[in-house]
Amino acid sequence: MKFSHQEIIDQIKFDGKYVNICISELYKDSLPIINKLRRKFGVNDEDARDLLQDIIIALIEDIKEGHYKELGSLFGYIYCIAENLLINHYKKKLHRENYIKTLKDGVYENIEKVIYARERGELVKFYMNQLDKRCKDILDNFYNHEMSLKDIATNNERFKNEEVAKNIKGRCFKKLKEIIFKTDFNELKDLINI
Amino acid sequence: MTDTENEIIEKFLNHDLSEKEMQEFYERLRNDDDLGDKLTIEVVRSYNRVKLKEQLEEIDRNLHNAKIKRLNILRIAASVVIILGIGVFFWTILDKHHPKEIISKNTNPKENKSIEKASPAEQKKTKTPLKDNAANAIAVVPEITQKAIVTDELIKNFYAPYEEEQYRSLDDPMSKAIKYYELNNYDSAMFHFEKVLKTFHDAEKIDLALFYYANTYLAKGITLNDANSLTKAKKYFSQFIRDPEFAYRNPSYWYLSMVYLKENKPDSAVIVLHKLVKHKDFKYQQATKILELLK
Repeated sequence: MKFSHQEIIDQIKFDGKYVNICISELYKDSLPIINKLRRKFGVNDEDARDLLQDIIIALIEDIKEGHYKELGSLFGYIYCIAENLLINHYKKKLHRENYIKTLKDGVYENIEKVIYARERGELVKFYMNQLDKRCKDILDNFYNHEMSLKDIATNNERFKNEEVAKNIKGRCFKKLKEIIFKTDFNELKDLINI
Repeated sequence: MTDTENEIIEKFLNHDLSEKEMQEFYERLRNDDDLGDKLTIEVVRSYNRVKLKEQLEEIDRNLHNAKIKRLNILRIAASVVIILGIGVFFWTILDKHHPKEIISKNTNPKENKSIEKASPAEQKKTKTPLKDNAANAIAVVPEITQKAIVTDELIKNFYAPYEEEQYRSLDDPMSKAIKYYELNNYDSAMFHFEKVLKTFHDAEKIDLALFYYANTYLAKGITLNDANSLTKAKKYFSQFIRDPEFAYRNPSYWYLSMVYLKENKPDSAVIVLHKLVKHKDFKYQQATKILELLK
């Protein structure tokens, strides 16, 4: 099945039945951008793939939140963001030279002060993976897919009614909050280092 | 959510807070229940992004596997055509010149017997010995039941000091430092690696010296149960894995996971090992094994 750009945008925007196929198609069709980035900026394959994935995530979020403005093709949009993001890539490279200089100057303790831009993914995963699947699903459906508690109860046999879903959602939220609070400050510092 | 709250939550999740700011943020969280709620909601919202990333990575893997499958089919087809071609070619040539001789040689029963029955000593010769300690470890680990696996056992079975063949026979400051590292003389090793770092200008050698320097801390931490050395090793390896230009980036994932296992932090080790498996590089098969055992 082949979808037009407008259909892809609509599927993502309204969380349509074919949203996963559309995301897969969008990614597949964007892959030639990787070669372009490699040729023009000398980025390695792995970094280019990571970059493309991040851009598609940003694009999906923009479409969902209604921030995406169609000015040209979807791929033009993706390539434009990639070019801008690559400037940061070179900034990182410059940073590395400074960091080696710091080391060579013998100030070894300074290494911890060298901070790179990092993704929040690992930290979020660390928190969420401490919840069981039921909690993850209910919080995800409520906050990310904007499902009402009534719909959640209807779609899941384990929740007898809206009231039960509400109680479980409340308990899961509290549990997650406790996980965030109880995470030891030093442990968090270790995670930041990953 | 106010702009300041929004900003501080963003900074917290993006790890952009300094140590002092982080302490202040935790203090604020303890007294401000609303801020805690907002942070929790933001964590759930960000989880959507994590799931999307995983979905795209899976699509990428599937596309890659499909491509390899197609290539393999093409390779097999090409091999069959080549083998058939060669067969036909030789059959035609040999058939023309020495048909009887060739047939009688190929059907000599005595010769065939000698090929089939190799002596046990000869058979033994063909087996290659396992050189890698870690490879031996893989064979040992399945004997341990999954429940009994503790991080210390994993360290015992999987940790081995880093070995760089390149500097074995050379007599330069780097080799001296490496020699001390291999002899478990950690203080001398560190002294010499620092010397190398101060005098060398070649980026590749600097990377190697830095990598060994971190490994010296790790070896010291593991052998002497020294928490400070482990912390230092962790700082270095964490820095290396974030540097796409660092020559020993992938091995650093492995050794960082060893730090976490030694510190009895299997959750953190799992995160690092997953990254290594994703890169399919240095000791990734052993990383997969550890991940299975930690499940």
